[in-house]
Amino acid sequence: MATESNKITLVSNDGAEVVVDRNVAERSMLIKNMMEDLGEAAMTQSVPIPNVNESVLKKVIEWCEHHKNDPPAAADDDSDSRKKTTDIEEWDQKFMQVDQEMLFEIILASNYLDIKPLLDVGCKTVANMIKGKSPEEIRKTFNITNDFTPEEEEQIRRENEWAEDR
Amino acid sequence: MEEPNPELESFRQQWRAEVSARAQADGNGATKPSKAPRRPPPITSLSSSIPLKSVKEDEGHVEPQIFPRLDGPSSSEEHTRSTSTKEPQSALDHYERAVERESQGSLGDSLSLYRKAFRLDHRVDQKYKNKHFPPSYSKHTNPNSSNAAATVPNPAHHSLDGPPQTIKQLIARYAGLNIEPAPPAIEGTPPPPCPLADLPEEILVHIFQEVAIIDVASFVRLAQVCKKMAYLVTSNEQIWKRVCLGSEVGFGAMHYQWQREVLGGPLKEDTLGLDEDFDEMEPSLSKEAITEALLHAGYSASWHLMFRFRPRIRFNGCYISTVNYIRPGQASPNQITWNSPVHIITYYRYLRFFRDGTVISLLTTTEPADVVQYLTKELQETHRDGAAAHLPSVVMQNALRGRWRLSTAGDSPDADLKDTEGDVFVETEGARAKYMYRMKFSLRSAGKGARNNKLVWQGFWNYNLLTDDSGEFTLRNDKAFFWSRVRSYGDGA
Repeated sequence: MATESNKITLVSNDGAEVVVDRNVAERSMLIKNMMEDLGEAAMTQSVPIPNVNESVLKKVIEWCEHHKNDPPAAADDDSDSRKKTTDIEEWDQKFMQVDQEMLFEIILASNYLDIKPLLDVGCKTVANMIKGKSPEEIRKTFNITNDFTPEEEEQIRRENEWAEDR
Repeated sequence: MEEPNPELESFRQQWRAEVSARAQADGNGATKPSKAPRRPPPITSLSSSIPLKSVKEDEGHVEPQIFPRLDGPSSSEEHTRSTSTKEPQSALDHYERAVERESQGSLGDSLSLYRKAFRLDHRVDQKYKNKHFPPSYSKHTNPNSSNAAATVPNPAHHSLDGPPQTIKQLIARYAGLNIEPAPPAIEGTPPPPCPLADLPEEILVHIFQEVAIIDVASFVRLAQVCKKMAYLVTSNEQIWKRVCLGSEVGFGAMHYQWQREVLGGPLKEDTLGLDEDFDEMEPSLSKEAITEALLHAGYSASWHLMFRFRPRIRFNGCYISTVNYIRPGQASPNQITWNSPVHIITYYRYLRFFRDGTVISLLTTTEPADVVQYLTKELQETHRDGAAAHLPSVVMQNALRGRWRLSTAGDSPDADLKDTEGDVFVETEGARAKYMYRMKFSLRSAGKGARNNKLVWQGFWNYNLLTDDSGEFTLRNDKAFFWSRVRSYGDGA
């Protein structure tokens, strides 16, 4: 299987066809599993990706291209998450310098396509946007409405006071 | 004869008010402490043989000693400047200022501020208590501030069944809600994008978990953004489990056995047998097994509560003990004076804990602002044996190397598993090579809600390595350590 360096065609939800190397596309566990299930039949026809539009798909493939030689992630979810570092490597940081809408589209696409390392990078990027901000700043950053009454807000604030470092 | 003189009149009024206030104060002032607020009995006289109970009961009255954020000289200067520009007005202001000055170690200032405060209002200590300690700490329960009570489970009873129902119910009501996108800035225009609202919950949890790993405070703060987030932060045990088991701030980084030699070298198999009184523990459960057992025994199977209440050491700051005491001086024989002078002595003890099981202990008269940023191992090495005395960090030449560990079931085999934790053992080199110092503390809490930010002395011993004797230091003047965040440490080395 490793010697097969054939191409597959992915079709985004807006009808654009993108041709990629099979080993690049297989960074996505969704596509990988599908390939294994369908065998040779899949190589001849194009694969529709109904939840992802062209620009996002291209972006995701750009990431897969760069990371095609990464060692596969450990299957054991729990042990993996415990030793996981919080740093994002430099290339990924640059890659994630996109507008907020694109960032969340990438997160959703990587979730749908089951590309866990990309999902992790995306979530870490959002986490870094949240870190150190006040609740009001977070609302502003992400356009969230404050749906608390003032009393509720005060109660929640008191309840969580213990975690603030003085 | 009576000429209207407004100035005189206003002075008279002021004078009358002061006299009447003073008369009132004298009326019931017989039992009134006239200068300082009520303090706990000197904890320092407690040896480890005294039952813990008595210490716990006193906790309610502990003054909140809050050190400014110690980021280095510039910011702490800013701190003192900002407070001194604002003149205190009310009795409470004076009192608050006095407490602040006292915690900084300037007793003289604080004394005169306390005096002023009590002159203005003889019940100011009660006011202060009501303001800074939620009513559940004191006996006078104020029914309409149940909010405050909700944040502080009574420490004496280990009431770890979680916060009272009200907050739980409140948050439970948020369960099915979604994140509300912000309305458009101008009516009729499309609303600003709110991609966070469209994320499936599992991804939101993933993001929150990443936030929790970077910075727990930021994660908890998310609860104040909107109802949905409040629900996720409070009730998502998966994230709290990760925080508890992790080694960033969680219990993964706590040491329950010595990790190092006293001087910081790697642990040798055969230690000198110094540990015979503490170390007779049978091969006990693994750290993870204890954590699991405790989760159910002590924390209502809630990782959230475990993280909040289980004793742990913090690495992103240092623990400081400010000691003040008064020594009577002798009046000069050459001068006629009415009273003999008094020396006010202030010194500080610093402890900084490291993740590898080592600790730096420093006893000095230098104030925190000039010390905390130098409490590093590199500078300790630089100044070993008094070297590099021209640097501002020279205070580190007296710093002692040491090691730390938390207590476990092995230290008190008969106690409940939950009650076996919470003590910290520290062993450091002595001021002279032949001595070793041993300290024992209890991890306590000071102030509202905050946890594990206080170290109360349980005992302090020296051990002579040559003669194999051990002696106890009296802790007559020593005060508890309080934790201060130090930004320059980052998340702690």
